[in-house]
This record gives sequence, structure tokens and C-alpha cells, in this order.
Amino acid sequence: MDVLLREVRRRTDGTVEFHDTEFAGEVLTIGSGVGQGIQLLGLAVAAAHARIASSPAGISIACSRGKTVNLNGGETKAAALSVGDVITLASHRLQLIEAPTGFDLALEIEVDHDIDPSEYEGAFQTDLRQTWLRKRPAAWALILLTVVVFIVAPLVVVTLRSHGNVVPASIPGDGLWSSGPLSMAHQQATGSNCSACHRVMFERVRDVDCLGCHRNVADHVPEGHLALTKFGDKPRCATCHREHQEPVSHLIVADNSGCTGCHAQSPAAFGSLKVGSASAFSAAGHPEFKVHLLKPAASTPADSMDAEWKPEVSGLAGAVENSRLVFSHQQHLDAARVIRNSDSEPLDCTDCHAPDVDGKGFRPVTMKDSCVSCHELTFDPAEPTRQLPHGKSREVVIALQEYFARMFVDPDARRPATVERRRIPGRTDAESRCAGPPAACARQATTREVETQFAVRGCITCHQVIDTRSRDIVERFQVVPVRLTSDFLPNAHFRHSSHRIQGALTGSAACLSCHDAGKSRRTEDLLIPGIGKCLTCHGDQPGGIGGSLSAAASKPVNPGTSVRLGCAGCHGYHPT
Amino acid sequence: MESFKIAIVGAGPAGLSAAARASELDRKANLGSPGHVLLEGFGAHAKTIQRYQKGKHVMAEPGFLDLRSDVRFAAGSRERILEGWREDLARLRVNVRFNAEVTRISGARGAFTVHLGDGTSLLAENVVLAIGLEGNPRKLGCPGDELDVVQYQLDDPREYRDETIFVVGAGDSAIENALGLSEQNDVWIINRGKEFSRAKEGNLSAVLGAISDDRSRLGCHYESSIKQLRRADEAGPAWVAELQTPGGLVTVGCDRVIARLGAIPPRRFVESIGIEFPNDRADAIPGLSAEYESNVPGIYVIGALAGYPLIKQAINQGHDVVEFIHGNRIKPADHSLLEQRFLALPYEMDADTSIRQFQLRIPMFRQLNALAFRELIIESVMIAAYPAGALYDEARKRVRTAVDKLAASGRAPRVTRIIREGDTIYEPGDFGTSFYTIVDGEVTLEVPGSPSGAVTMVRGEFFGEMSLLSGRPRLERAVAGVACVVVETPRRTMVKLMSSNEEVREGIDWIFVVRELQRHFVPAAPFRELKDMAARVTSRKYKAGELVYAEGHKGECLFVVRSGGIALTRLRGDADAMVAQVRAGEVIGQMALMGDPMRRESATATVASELLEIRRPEFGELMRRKDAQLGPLQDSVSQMLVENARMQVRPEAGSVMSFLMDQGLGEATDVLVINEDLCVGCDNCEKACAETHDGVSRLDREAGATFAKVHIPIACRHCEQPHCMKDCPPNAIRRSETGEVYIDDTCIGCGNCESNCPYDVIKMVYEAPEKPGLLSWLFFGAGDGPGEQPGYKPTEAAKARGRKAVKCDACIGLAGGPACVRACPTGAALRLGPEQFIDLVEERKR
Amino acid sequence: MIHESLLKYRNARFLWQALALMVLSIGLYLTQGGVRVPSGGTWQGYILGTIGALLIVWLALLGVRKRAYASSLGTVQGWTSAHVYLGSALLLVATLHSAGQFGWNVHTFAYVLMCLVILSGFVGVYAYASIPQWISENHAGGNRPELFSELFALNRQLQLLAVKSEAAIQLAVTSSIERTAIGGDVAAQLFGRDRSRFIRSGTASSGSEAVLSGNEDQQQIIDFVAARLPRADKAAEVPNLHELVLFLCRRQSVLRRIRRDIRLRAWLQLWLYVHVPLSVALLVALVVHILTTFMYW
Repeated sequence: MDVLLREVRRRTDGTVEFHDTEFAGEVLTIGSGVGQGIQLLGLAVAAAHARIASSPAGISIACSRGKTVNLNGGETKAAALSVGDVITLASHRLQLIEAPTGFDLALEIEVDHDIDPSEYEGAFQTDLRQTWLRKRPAAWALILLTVVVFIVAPLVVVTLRSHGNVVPASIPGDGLWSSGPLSMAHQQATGSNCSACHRVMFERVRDVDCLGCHRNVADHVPEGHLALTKFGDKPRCATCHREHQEPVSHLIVADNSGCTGCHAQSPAAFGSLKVGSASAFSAAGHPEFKVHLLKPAASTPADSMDAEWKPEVSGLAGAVENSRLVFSHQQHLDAARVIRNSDSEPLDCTDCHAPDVDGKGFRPVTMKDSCVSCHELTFDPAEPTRQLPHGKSREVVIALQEYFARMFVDPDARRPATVERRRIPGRTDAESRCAGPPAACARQATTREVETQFAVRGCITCHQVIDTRSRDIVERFQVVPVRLTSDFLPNAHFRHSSHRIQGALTGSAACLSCHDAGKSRRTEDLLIPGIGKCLTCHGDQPGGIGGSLSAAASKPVNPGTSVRLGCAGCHGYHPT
Repeated sequence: MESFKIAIVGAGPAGLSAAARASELDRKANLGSPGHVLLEGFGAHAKTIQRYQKGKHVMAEPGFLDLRSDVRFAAGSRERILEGWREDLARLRVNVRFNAEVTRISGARGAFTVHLGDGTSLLAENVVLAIGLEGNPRKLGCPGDELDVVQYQLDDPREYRDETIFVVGAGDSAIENALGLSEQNDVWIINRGKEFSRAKEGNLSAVLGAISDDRSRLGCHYESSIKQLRRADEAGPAWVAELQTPGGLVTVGCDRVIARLGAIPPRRFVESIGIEFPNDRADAIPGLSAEYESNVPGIYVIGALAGYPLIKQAINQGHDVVEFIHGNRIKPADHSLLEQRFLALPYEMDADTSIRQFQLRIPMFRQLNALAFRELIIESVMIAAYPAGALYDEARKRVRTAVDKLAASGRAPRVTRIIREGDTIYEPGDFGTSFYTIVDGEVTLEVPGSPSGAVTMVRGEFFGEMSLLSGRPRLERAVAGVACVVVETPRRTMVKLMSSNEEVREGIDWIFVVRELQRHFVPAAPFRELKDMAARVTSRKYKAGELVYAEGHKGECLFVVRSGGIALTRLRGDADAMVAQVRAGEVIGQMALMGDPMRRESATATVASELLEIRRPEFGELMRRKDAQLGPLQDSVSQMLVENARMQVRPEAGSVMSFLMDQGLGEATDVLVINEDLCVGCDNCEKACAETHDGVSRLDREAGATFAKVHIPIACRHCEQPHCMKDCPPNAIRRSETGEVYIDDTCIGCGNCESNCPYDVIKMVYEAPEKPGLLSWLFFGAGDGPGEQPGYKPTEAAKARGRKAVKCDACIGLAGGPACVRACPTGAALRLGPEQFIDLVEERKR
Repeated sequence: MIHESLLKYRNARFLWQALALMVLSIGLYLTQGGVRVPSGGTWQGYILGTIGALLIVWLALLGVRKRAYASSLGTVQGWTSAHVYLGSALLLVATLHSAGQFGWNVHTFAYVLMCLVILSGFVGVYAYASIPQWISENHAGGNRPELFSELFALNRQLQLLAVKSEAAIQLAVTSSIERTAIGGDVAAQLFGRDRSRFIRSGTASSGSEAVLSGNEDQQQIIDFVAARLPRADKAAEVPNLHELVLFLCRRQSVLRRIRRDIRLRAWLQLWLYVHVPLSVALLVALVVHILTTFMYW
């Protein structure tokens, strides 16, 4: 399309000037913007206001959206044009005139140059407000995005899933509401299905939903007991177990307040339950330990074989061990008196007390593991490899019977030289010899040896032996069974292995710093330390020493670095 | 020759009402032929109102005044009022003659000869002059100049579009009209001369630029005039004008002719009749009796010419003057107002007696004509002090009952203010500019910190003249004394009185001078002893920019600034550096009389100022007095020296200060100053202004001058002597005691204040239409949001109510102060008083 | 100057208050240290979260206060000063509330939105503190309408001068005025890209084609006219061309000032286009955050 643009300028003296320019292009644009085919200024003129185009059907004008031009006196948005038409736009005037040869269109343009200078700025976009930047639509878009993605979509997904529909994982579901990752086990167990635990919206996770899986968890306090106290409902699972905190929390709130909430109260609050109050791990805030000791029930004779043993809780002070063993720690630890068989060194604690597998406590002390290396059960010096069985008095007698029977019946078996060379102390040779028939000699020797072993220097060394005076040698002696307490403080977890090194103290020294075994002469001595011992290193405040324990009373191993100990450090909540 | 009892000249509101009354009295007297005649030089009644633009809302202020007339008048559109009067003229059979210009009046009471423009004349026993102040516009003086095509006034040039318009005249009004019209029309100025010799500088360059610009639609025919106007017979423009140009006679089509040839002021005509004016001031009012009779017996003056610019007042006077001429001693329409004024005075006396007594008691007002004094009392407020207790309570009860009764009849009366003895009438720092006259009892003036202590004033004396004259806040405390009765007269009334009455002006002037002398030099000297000296002190007026004295010259006098502001500058290199700005009430040039005759700085008026000049002999005489007080004067000199030196070493501060003074802040009391370094251009100040003021912003942030990051937007500065107040017919522009100058709702939309304001801060606007609520904008973008809608379209109702003047009122009554300042998020906008200007230029302590 | 910037408002009283709030929050946070795993779910976390939420709501209320023009509840400047400082403190309060637990969830989304809002606010504070000075210096006492008026007057004078010149010059000058680009879209306003053009044509004698050529910073048109000066056909044209070059240079200078003004103002406002919509979104995200927290309690 070739267009002749004829600008008309009327001078004040009445003369008219024409300025012709040519335009060649598909579309002739009109507007106030730069680069428009015809640039017309004014507030009413948009940057790109209208376009004049040529088609086989003829010339036509079309305005941009929302704009109009005045065509022959009437506002129009789009129209076909013919020669003679007058277009007015703001105060500018365009008229189609007869196109000269070679042109498709000729326009006579009268530009109104008398626009106000302030309108001149209006021809340009000089403020961000005039650009596509918008605050309100942007805000609405963001609101919409937030609501759709974080409320509507999850709700839809949840609803669909609850009706058994499968929703692809790529669509954001209520996982967007999760406040943090689950613990592995829960994640595995629930399959990341929020409603596995969060069953009812706006309701906190219910215990029944926990107990659905955790069937074997016992209550801290049975309902019946709780009813005796003045406390209200039992705490929720989630009071202590906080999910969505992985990997930092291990699901348990390590906070004393959960415990002290009840336990710090005066015993009266516990109603008829006898519970000491504990508010902190300190001398003042925590009661002295109470040991659980095995004691024969009062109903049965104390020293009888069939005494009924029952655990009994008692205060630490004056508590007496009832193991029925005869043992002096002091003697065993006295290097002048006892040395190790293998290397002739003094004994270590671990020579007898071997840590158990989990390092928490110790394997039970047994004859076989702890004593026999020194206390061999030989009876005949001539046959040092021959040992009596341990633990079963009847078998001991039978073994001796067999031994002596064989010795006297089978002359080859004897080794008189040895017998002769060595005699039983306190006996005359004549007594040790037997001139009777072999069977009688054997019986005599057996009887003598049994009496020696049970009552003189064998079992009696460590055990209490009852002489029934029975004729039957087999039945005559009974060894009182040993009842060793495996855990004096069963309600507290104490990990011995983590206390084997205490500052500069290691090995037996570390053990002895708590257990005063070096001075214990009696079996009855209870070597369990009191709370004061713990408090030398522990407190319930980090970096300080717990409670009112004065520094003078007991010096910490490493002053100023005591280890914080919460309730859960020693105590479990759920009974096992 | 025809003969009438009353000839009324001028068919404006006053004349119409007078003629209507006269006609009614004629009818009652059953006269066969009319005993009155109404003469109007123009072709229709109420010429001034005829010239209002179409649909203009005409107001009926003051609301407290009752209408007493045979013609109707209530607030309404121009058309309704004119139509009502036209009907009244016919209904009352008023003997009116249009196009009957009175050229001369001769004779004496009982036998005046009234000569008319057409050569005829008539006889009248009495003449009522109701011709207003506007005078007659000079006409084109050619055939056809009475046709509709000619108009003598232009309200809004934007109302016309694509017309060919001739503007006849070469003055400022012609140029402004032509420039305005040429934005949308083809305009030709018809200039009789070769150039625009009477035009202001700005107008001159604008019009010459436009004429020489090929693209402008403005042209000019020099040395030309219109010879004839007639209706065109062919198509095209409706009218044809014959132009006499240097090139010969040209015939051109036109749509409109606007004649701006000025008006013939009426004063010369009035004087030709023999009526005397008290002085030569342009706003002087002829002396009149209480019955509107002038010094020429038989000639009565009413309406604007008598000093009553409001329509309702003029109408009432028209009624009353005819009654007076007929010998009816009626009480004037405003008599009830007067009674209300005296309602709670401690004595029972009828209003007329009271007013006579009062006038006698005040020496300064004794010579005033009765009408003027009556007007003064009506416009004033009476203050009566009672002893605290039963008497006070009883008086208040009396006033309250009366007010309630009047309020029930639909009026808000202005009654006596009751106070207790010992109450303060005003405090130092109050911005009141009213003037107080004591008619009874006594009043004590206490100047804080003054060694002379309190001064007691008695009956006949007056006070408060300092603020009246200088526009500065009060300096002293006025305390009501025993049984005092005080007349509180508003500034406007006093200014009018002072310009029309020499005695009042001189009386106030000398007291002012005496008090200034006392204040600055001899606090304990008695009035009487200073009176003589005051007469020798001259008061000098300076225009803005005028030099008072120059640096390096010898001085023989000092000056007390009476009003306005003075800039002190010192020559620094070849430029002046400002060292101080001095405001009303302060002294300059005192060093010249205190040992250093050489002026060390130049003093220039920053705004129109008035200074009292005290020469060496008078100063010496003052200083020789025993009670002379040199200490404070010396202290102020020392203090000024330091301040001046501090300013001088910081020329940049001085240049900012000069800039402020150039912006006219020398007379400002409260000005919006924007720090450009902080201003982010959010326009929240404008929005706040619009939102707190009916949707129309009274400030233009972006416009206005800037210097050294100090931007003074177009916003009211609450001048010490507000220019806008000068000529407000309904006295709608007021100053509150805290200093805010505001326009109350009695504005009649005359636009005087708009043109009087040199700082362009007053706009005439239609009420802005209601906007959608803030929330719907906030959420959905409905409307333009807060602030003034750009180019809003007023509703039809708002258009009918007409434009009213709006200006900044410093958010008077808004808790927390001006909204513009409180709405500024960055702290860029502050409102400052003049005493803070020094802080403005002061470097912050770092 | 007697004016006080919003950062120094009343001796930066809100700075101290914000610092106090921050110290308080840190103290509160630390009380859960060691014992509990810090998170938004502890009582300290709830308190921090409540403080944060109230802060966000209050900070957003600036938008309301700003438009409550008749309000006497403090000055907008005071509010803005507090908005800046307490908004900065919010960054810490909310971070402590989150206890560094982030994930792909609505909670972190709200946190990120909040961070973006605060960061854009920091940009805004910087812009408000520095750009007005540059604008003011660029204006040199005038303002934008005046600059445009000056430009408009220069255009008129140039057009009048151009009429007197030969056709090529006239076309060049007129087209350079008509095709002067000022401002434009966002990028053009922010970076002052100049897409001005003019029509360059040969003289009558050379008779070359008219081409639309670039005219960045108006330099090409100045060069074009200046190049004609020594080659003027008629001596009478020389003064006119001199005049033209002079006016073109003045126009160039005015245009530079206008462009700089547009650029500076665009930067001054840009941050708000981020800050405001994000703030609104943050409010909604905050509600969703609180809602979902208690939805899956």
C-alpha cells in the first residue's frame, strides 16, 4: 500500500502550506507512540490508536481495543473508508482525498500542534504505572496460586484418596502441609499417608491411632492407679513424642518438665500412691536412691534351703546384701594376699565382674567364670586335674564315692607313693591309711573327704553349708543357694560401660571411685553409691553441678563440666 | 418634564428592591401615576448578575440576616434569581426604564434634575443611588455593540471551542482572555495601539510569543478597531464585523466579540453630584447618615457603593431607604441583629440608645457617621465580663435561653459573649487579628517579661492594634477587668473603616507607634508623653524587593518593622549574601544610632512592608529619658551580630534563606517545605489533602520552586496579612486563633481571593463527586484510588451549587495536625513557622 | 535541614525497639536449647510464631494507615520507620520460629515469601534513601513537567527553524522530533534504552533514498545537521543550520535529563511492584500456614 501523507499547515495569515511525504507498507499506524506511521500527540490519543489497512475489499480503519476515532462526526471502532471521509482524533483531523496516480491512498492531515505541553508527556510511557507492571493483578495471581496450590489442591487430593481413588504422586497433596519429615519407621509404616495419624481435621493426633500399631506399650500408670491421684488425664502420646522433627529429635522430647509436671508435686498429690517427689536431678530435688534387694520372705526360715526370695525395696542406708555368699572384697583386692593366678598381678574388678554384652551391667558372677581360676575344686593332691563338680552337693558326694571306691577297689589305680609322701594335715598316717576291706575303706575315705570338703575347707570357704547330720552321706550336707541381685536399681538405667573412664580414673580405679570395694570385708556390705556420688559429675543443668550440692561436699571429677542428666537419662516412662 | 418623588439609579439588587418598595407604597397611596422611577443604563436588570456565567449558583449570605423586601431572594441559580426579579418587576408594576443612563444630576432636595444619556431629563424629589461599584464597562462604541455577540466578561475560556473570537483591548484581562481562548479557538486581538503598553511582563511575553508563533491560533490586529457588528446573512460564522485596520476596512466573520476595555469607575460620577468621599483611597466609601442619606440632602446611597457588597444587605437597604424617604422611621432590617449583640449586657437599654452611648464613649469613633458605627457593631462581637458567681451564671442562662429561642426559629444568632472577670480575652501567641474597644469597665494588658508590668485600660481605649496592623500573633495577654464590656471587631471591618475614615486610621496608628516605642525603648513611659514623639515618627511603605537602606551608606535612623518582612544582605564578592530575615515587630538599623553610623548590611523588603522610621533626634530624645531601657536593645544587637555573622560564614545557608524570601516566605506563618532528598514523589501528601478535604487537594506538590533541595510546593503559607482576606465580600476567609487561615462555608464563589493570592494557592472548584470506597479500590481497583481524581467531572448538583474557593486550612480541627505532613512516609514534608527557617538552613549537628 | 529521614526518625527509636525485640526473641529461642529440639511447635516456637504473625499483620497495616488520611494514630513516617525496623527484625523472629526446619511445604513457602518481601523492602529502603537525591540533582531545581515543557518548546522552535531549511534537513529534524522515544516499556524505562529514529535522506543534488536510521541520544541527527553545515548550498542557510545544531544540542541535553529522571523514578518504584503483591500473598500464605498447622495438628 502506497500512501501519500499530505500535512496541512494553516498559517495565521490565512495561507495554507502542504507538506507531502510518502508511506509504503502494509499497515499505516496512527497513535502517539514513537514509530507510528502518523504520530499524533494528545491525552486522548493512545500509543497505538488505530490502523489503516488496505485489502482487496478496500481501505479500512480499525482501532485498538477500547479506542475509537470520530469518523464523519460519529464515534467508530472500525469502518471502511472512502474518499472524502474525515477522521478526527482528539483535535487532529485526517481526510481521505483522491489518491494521485501511483498511490493507493492519500490522506490530508491537519495536526493540532497547540496541545498543552503537559499533554506532551502523555504521549510517552514515562512511569512504570503505564507499563504492564501491575500490583493488584499480581497480588491476586499470587493469592490464587497460594490458595489453589496449598489449600484447594491438597483438599481435593485428600478427598479423592479418602474415597479410594488413586492420585498420582506428582500432584501436590496434603504433604504440602507437613511441617517436617517423619521418622523412617513411621514413614515406612504409614506410606506418607497423613491421615493415617491425622484422622480428623483440626483435631490433634489421638492416642488410639498410635496404639493401633504400638500395641504392647504399657501405660506409665495404670488407669486405676491414676484415679487414685489428683492428676487429671494421662498425657497424650504426643506430649512426649513429637513427630515431624526428624532427623534431630528421635521422637522423644528430652524435657524434664513432662516428668516433673507430676513428680515434682508433693507426695500428697499422688493420693494413696507412695511416690517420692522429684523436681530436679539434685540433692534437694531428687530423693536418695532406694535399692531393690532380694530377701527371703519372712514366712520361710531365713537360712533354709527353700526360703522364698522376694525383692524388697529399702533405703540405701543400712541396706544389707543377702547373697548367702561368704566374700570379702577387701581381701580379694589386697595385693598382698591375693594375686592373679595367671600373671601374679593383683586382681582387677573385671577379673570377676565381666561387663555384659550391652555394656550396661555385668554378667552374673559365676564360679566358673570368676572364681575357679583360683579356687580350684581339686580334692586329691595326687590327682590335681580331678575336680569336684560345682553347684550340686549331691553330685559332689557321688563323685567322691566313685573316686574312692575305685581307688580302693582297683589297686592299680592307687599311687601310694604320693599318698605316703603327702598326708592330710592334722591326721596321722595311720588314719590316712586304711587297713580294712576296700569297700569300707572307700566309704571311710569318702566320708572323711566329704566332711572335709563341705565343712572344713571346700564349699564352706565361700558358701553357707548346712550339716543335716544325716546318716546318708549324700544327704548330709546342703549348700545354701546363692542369690545374687542382678540389678539393685532396676528403675534406673545406668550404663557402666560409659562410666569406665571417669576423667583421670580408669579401670578398677574408676569402679572403686563409686563402689568402695577396697574396704568391704563383709559379704553383707552393699557397695551401691548414693545420689551424692552421681551428683559429683551430673546435674540437670548443663555445665553446672546439680542441685544444692555444695562444691565442698564432693568435688566433681572435672570441675565445671558436669554432665547434664535429665529424668529420661536414667528413668524409662513405659513400664517394660 | 416628568416628575417623581423618588428616582432610583441602578437596577441592581438594591435598586430593584427600592423600586419595588416605592411601587408598593405608590399602590397603597393609590397614586394615579407612579411616584417613582427606576433608571438603568443597561438593557436589563441586575447587570452584574446577568454577566455571571450560565447556571452559576448565587448565594444568599449572610445567613443570619433576615430578608426584608418586596422582591424575592434566596440562594439559587443565576437564572432562577434573574427570572424571579423579572417577574417581580412586572408583578409589582415597577416603573423601570432600561437603557436610561444617568449622566448628570443637578439641583437640590425636592427638585433634582436627572439628566439621561439620550438627552432627556426628569425631575425627582429624592434620588437613590444604587449603582454599585463596578461602573459601566467601556463599550465598543460602534453600531451593533449592544448585540448578543458582544460580551464584556469571560468566565471560563474552555467553554468555547473552534470559534472565531475577537478580543478587543490591550490590557491584562484582554490578553489573558485571548491566550486562554486561543487554546481551542481562533482568536484575534483587536488592539487600538501599536503595542501592548499596559500589560504585565509575563502577559506581554506570552502574548507576543503566541502572536509571532505560526502555529498558535492567536493573532493580533494592531492599530485597529471594530467599526460595525451585524448578523451574517450567509453560512459560516453567525456574525460579521467590520474592522478598521491600517490597511483599510476589512469585513470578517466571527462567532463572538469579547470587549475588555475596562470599566468607568462610578466615583467621578458620584462626586459630580456633590457627594464627598473622606479620602482619595480607591476603596473609600462616602459618608452616610443612619438613613443612608449622603452629605447632599435628598440623595441617598445604598448597596455596594455604600460599602455593602452582599446582595441581601443591598436588598434590605433598598427597602429601608424608601421607607425613610417616605418618612417612616422604621427599624432597619438588621435591627434584630443589633439587639442580639446587646442581649446580655449588664444594663437594660434599647439598642439605639446603647449604640449612641457607645459611640459617645469611644473618642476615636465619635466622628464616625452613625451608619458606619452601626455596621461596625453589627459585624463585631460584644464581650461582657461578669463577676464569677450568681451574676455570671444568670447572664449565661439569659443568653442561652435567648439563643435557644432564636435557634428554634431557624437562625444561628451571634450574641454577646459572656465571660468572667479575670478571664483572658487573648493569650500571647494567639493569632487573632481582631481589634478591641472598651466601652465599659477595664481591661488589663500583661506583657510577659516586661518590666513595666500590667497596664490597665479603661473605657474608650482600645487594644489589639498590633496584630491588626502587622498580622503577627499577640504579644500580650488581655485580661477582662471589673465590669468590662468590650467590642471585638474583626480585622476586615477595621481595615474597611481605616481606609474610609482618617480619624480612625490615625487614632490606631499613633497608638500603634506609641506602643512600639514603649515596647522597644521606653516600656514605662506614659502614653501622653510619647504622643508627641509618635507624631514625628514616620511610617514608610515598601514594595516587595524595594531597598530600605544600602550597605556602606551612612544611616541616620533605625526602623521598626510594622508589617511584612525585611531581608538583610551583605555584599560578598559581587553577590549579595543574606544574613538575616527580619519580621514584623523587630528593629533594624539600630547600629547606626548606636555608635556605628555606617550600614553594615543592606535591608530589602521581601514582601510589601511597612516600617516605622525613627530618626536620630527622636532616638536621642527617647534615650535621654530617665526610663529609657537600653539593655534589651543592646542585647538584641549583640545577638543579631552573632546570628548575622554565622549566616555570613555560610553563604549557602544565606542563599537558601534568600530563596525562601524570594518565594514570599517573609510573610508566611506556616509553610509546607519539602526536602527533595527525602521526597520519593509518592504524592501521599496531595492524596491526604484531598481525602481530608472533600476530594479536592489544596496543594500541588510537584509545582513550585526548588532550591538546594528545598522545595516549596504550591500550598498556602498562611500569610501574616493574608492577601486573600483583603476582598472577601461575605468575610468567609478567617484566621483561627492558632493561625490557620481558612475559608468557611459562607463562600459565595466570587473568586476575589483566587486572584488576590500572589502564590496561586487558592482554587475555585466544583465539589468533587463521591468516589468508590477505599476497600473496593484496594481490592478491585475501582476508581482512581485515594486522592483527587484528575480532571473529575462534577455532578449536576455540584455544578448548580457553583464553584467555591478552596485553600489549605492547615487541617484545622484535625487531631494531630496537617494531614499532608502526617501522611508523608519519608519525612520529606514538614510545615514550618518562620522561626524554624533558621533551623532549616542550619547544618545538622553531626 | 530540619527534616528527619525515616531511618533516623526520633533518634531511630524503632531501631532500638527492633533490636530489643530481636534480643528477646533470641533469648526466648535459647530457652529451648539443649532440652527440647527447637521448632515452631514448642511453646517458645508458638510465641515466636505469634509475634511473627502479629508483626506481619501489623506491617501490612501500614498500607491501611497510609490511606487513613485523617487518622491521628502516629505519623505515617513513624509507621514507616517502625515498618522498616520491625520488618527487619521479623526476619530473625520468623527464622527463629522456623528453627531452621525447612521443607517443601506451605510453611517454608510462607517463610520464603516473607524473606522475599523483606529483601525487596531492603531494596526499597536503599532506593528511598539514595534515589531521591539523584533525582533532585538531575532536576537541578526543576521538575518533570518543566522538563517536558522545555522539550516541547524546543520542539516548536526546532520545527520553526526546520521549515526554513532545505527539505532533507526539514524531514530529518521533523522526523527526529516525531520519532524521539522517551520512556517506554519496563526495560526501556529501567535501562533508558533509546530507540529514537529519524529519516535520513540525501540532498536534492545527491537524490538518495530516504532511510529510517537510528538516532540514539539524538547524536546522529546532530551529526547529520552538522555535516550539512560546511556543505550548505546557500550562504543564507548557514546561520539557520548553526541555530539548528544549537537547539538540537539543547534538546539532547534536556532529553538526557528526562531519560535519567524516568530511569531513576522507575528504579525508585520498581521494588514496590515486588514488595506489595508479595506482601499480599504473604498474608494469605500466613493464613494458610496457620490454618494447616491446626488442620493437621
